[in-house]
Amino acid sequence: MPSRPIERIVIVGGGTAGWMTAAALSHMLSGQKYAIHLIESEEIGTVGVGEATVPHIRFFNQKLGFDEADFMAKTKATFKLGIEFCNWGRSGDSYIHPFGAFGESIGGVAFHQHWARMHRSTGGHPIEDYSLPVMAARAGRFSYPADDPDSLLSTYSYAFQFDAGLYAKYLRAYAEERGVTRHEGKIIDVALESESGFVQSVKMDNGASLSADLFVDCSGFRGLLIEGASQSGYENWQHWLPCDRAVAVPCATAGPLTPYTRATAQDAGWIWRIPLQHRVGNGHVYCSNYISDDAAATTLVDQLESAPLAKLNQLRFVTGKRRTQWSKNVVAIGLSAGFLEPLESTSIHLIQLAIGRLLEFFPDQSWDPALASEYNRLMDLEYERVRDFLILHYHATERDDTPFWNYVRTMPIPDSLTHKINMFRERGVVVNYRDGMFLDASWIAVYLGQRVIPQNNDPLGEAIPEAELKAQFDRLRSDCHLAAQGLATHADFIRQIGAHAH
Amino acid sequence: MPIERIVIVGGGVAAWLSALALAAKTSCAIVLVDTGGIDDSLGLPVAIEATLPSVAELHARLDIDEDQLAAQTGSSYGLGRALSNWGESGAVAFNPHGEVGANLGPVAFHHLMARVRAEGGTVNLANYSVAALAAQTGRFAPYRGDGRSVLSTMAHGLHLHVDGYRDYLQNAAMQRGVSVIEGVPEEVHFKSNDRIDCVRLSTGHIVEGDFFLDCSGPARHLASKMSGFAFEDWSAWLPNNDMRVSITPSTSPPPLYAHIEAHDDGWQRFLSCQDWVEELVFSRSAGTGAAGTYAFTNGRIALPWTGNCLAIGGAAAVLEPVASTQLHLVATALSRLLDLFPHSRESSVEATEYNRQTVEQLENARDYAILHFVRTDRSAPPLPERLTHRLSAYEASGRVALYDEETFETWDWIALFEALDITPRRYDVVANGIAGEAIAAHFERVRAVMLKAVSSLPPQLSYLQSQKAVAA
Ligand SMILES: Cc1cc2nc3c(=O)[nH]c(=O)nc-3n(C[C@H](O)[C@H](O)[C@H](O)COP(=O)(O)OP(=O)(O)OC[C@H]3O[C@@H](n4cnc5c(N)ncnc54)[C@H](O)[C@@H]3O)c2cc1C
Repeated sequence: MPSRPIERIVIVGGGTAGWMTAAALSHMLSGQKYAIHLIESEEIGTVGVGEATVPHIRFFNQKLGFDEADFMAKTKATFKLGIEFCNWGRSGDSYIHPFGAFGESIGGVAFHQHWARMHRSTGGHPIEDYSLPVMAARAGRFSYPADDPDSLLSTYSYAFQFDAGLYAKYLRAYAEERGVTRHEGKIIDVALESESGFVQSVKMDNGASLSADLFVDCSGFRGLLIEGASQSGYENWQHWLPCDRAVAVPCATAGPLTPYTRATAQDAGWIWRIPLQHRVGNGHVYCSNYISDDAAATTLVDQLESAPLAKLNQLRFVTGKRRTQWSKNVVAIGLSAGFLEPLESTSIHLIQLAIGRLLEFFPDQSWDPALASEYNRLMDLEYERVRDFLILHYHATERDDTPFWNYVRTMPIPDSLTHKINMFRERGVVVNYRDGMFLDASWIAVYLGQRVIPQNNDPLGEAIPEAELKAQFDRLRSDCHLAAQGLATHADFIRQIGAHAH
Repeated sequence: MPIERIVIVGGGVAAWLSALALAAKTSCAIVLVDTGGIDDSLGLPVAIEATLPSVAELHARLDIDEDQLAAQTGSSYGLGRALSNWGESGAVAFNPHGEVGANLGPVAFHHLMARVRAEGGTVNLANYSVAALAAQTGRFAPYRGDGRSVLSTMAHGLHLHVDGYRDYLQNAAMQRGVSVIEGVPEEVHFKSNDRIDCVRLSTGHIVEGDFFLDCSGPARHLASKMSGFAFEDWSAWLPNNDMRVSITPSTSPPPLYAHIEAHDDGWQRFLSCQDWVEELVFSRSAGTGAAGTYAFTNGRIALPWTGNCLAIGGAAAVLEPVASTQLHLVATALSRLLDLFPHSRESSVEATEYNRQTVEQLENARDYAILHFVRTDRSAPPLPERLTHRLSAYEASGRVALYDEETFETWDWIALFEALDITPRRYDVVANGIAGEAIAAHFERVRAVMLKAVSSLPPQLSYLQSQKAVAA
């Protein structure tokens, strides 16, 4: 390489983002001359509430060589087949956004187009009847997907729900084993190179100072380096995603172990329910313009399935994104890069993506600006596309029972999303893009779940007689139902594979 | 009201392929207005059209067996392009279809190439591509097995004999009930601002329809009559405007690649099919209009689809075939139309989405064409912004920036960068964790496996002959 390589890397922060970064860099750069340091402060602590994930996490774990059962046992993890959304389109509604597609295309025309046609003509069954992962989730059952692409059992994927604190611990042990040096201490000062504005070193409250070539800012909401030192600026998205607070509390599991996360809409926000092996994580995400902290806490506690196991944890945030996530020699990863509410469990995935991209565009001492510029372009796209997907959940609703829902239902939304919703509503077409984590199947699940039903047929689908469609639909529906009933219960399966916490 | 009658204007390949696609996939009555004359429906009138592998997707959707098609129409197969004189070194570079090399662990092959070079080694990507190795040895048979064989990394297009192809499409379309009227549109009558009601032909015939396809090439018999019509001229970046064609019979086996050579003033392409060799010369000229030359302007119309009129092929955009994009653009336009076929005569949402995708695609394909000339044409104006970004991102990181609606994927861009002697300044850091010997051994293994696989293929001519026998 023509230019001098980077030698020292300091990761600021030991939350999920910090330890995921440390683990991945120490593994991918092993055998090379990099010194990786991580600073965290017990006094400040971590957010620690990120517990539900999307299937991509498995690739991250695989790349690092984790044994799945071991990882699950140590993080008290459960399997996740999707997210159930209650009361979103209308009060009383329930739909599941599964990790898998509904049905298969018939005669070159997408399944949901045929479904919409049947729905308009005869009513028919809900689309979820044609999804094995939804049927399995509703039945509380789970098994690994099959390898055989012709099998119905291969039509889904899965993710985990885990204890974020234990995951960070697990990653920490892994990273330290691979040479990452951990420093306990609170950073009280950041020294910048006067001319370039590059971060030179950070100083801790114990007097020690750490210098580095590259700083990864995983300091959480405060964005200690990216904002505090580099003043990257923040793009505020609260006019589209107005929730700005959360209150969280765990409780004991009452009833069988469910293989999915639940998000139940409330008067001014929503409540999550994330089942882990040893407890259930609960939280109320809300908008402080429409409900007080006390009322929000009461709403949460009133809906718990059992007594709280800890004190209430209050959190504040501003939805949006750092204007430049990579600025000079600082790359922000995790909550320091931006915050999108956890409705679709996207944060950990965005962390993973950022780490992968940082490795792909890994800088050297020439600090080629084209690297940061392409990195930022790609990360901006990801954040914006997740943002649009989240807005869809709020905006596409028929709820008019509270001021909060009246606001989100009638607020102006990004043009790109208006076009997407129109295309689906009028013609069943899913507008999608190259970069962006949610594939067509996810958009279809949420459109239909939120009652955005295509109003017109795909004209090419009309060549197939309705009776023929109905026969195929009936077969698939009974196959999904039977296959789901054939799976083990979630709790049994975890035990069978030795993934239960000892 | 659903669309029941479709009128297609133009008698060339683009028109007949459209007619066949719509006849096969919709239940509409289709009338084709054959405007006669030379076939510039794809943009530029060539005798042999090199296609990209992606065209096979539309053919499959229309149940066209490409092997039968090649055998029956006098066409042959294509595995890529040989480029000479495009880079500073003047060396010949090969741009193959399909994948190149193989990853080593998490590190992509092109980063391994860069690492080998950084250590003083030389690597020619053509030595690690099945398509390139097969093209060099003249061996070919399409691979239809699963992903386990290295042959699955090869992709192929066709060298279509255009007259044969058009006849083939016409036959198939007529069998599906497409009717033909000869004549040239003289007047276009509108129902409302942007809805065509009918077209009056030079013969006096009136042709009515619910939906109109303009496949008349640069003549744009319908598109140019639509309100808001505008042509975006790309000549500043792609200044060639004159094409000379000569076609000669040939008895030697057709090479499995197009040969394109850069000149001081334009470029030249040699392309063969079963019994013919075609030579095209592209240049900038004052437009002599001499016999055997064809004048053209690179560019696109502002909106391919307005109201009930959709322009496809040369009517929508003209892009000199330096990267063999002509038929690809038509085939993908038709797939897109099938996916977005209007649910009623009055509907307009489909057009909005169609135009969004199409304009993205055209501009990305245009940028790939422009890239060919960044080294040879020093007088050119600033590049389109996106292309500038692609160049700087690649030079800085070795990673190809890709956008929505790409025609060319990572390896196509890298192979062209290589042909232009544009190389990245860095490579994937993870590659530094792999020992040099391990990389060298990996390269040898990849090449050995590929050579062995290629030697199992028959000479292309034997394969073509076997297909002719099947067809007969
Ligand atoms: C209510 C809520 C629910 C969520 N649910 C999910 C979910 O279900 N799924 C999901 O994927 N994500 C979820 N997230 C997001 C997820 O929690 C975070 O993405 C994840 O925890 C990563 O956080 P972090 O590491 O960036 O920040 P933090 O956890 O805040 O860590 C910051 C670190 O920086 C250190 N630090 C800060 N300042 C200093 C200093 N001055 N000196 C030294 N050290 C310092 C802290 O000690 C800490 O170690 C949720 C977030 C919230 C707010």
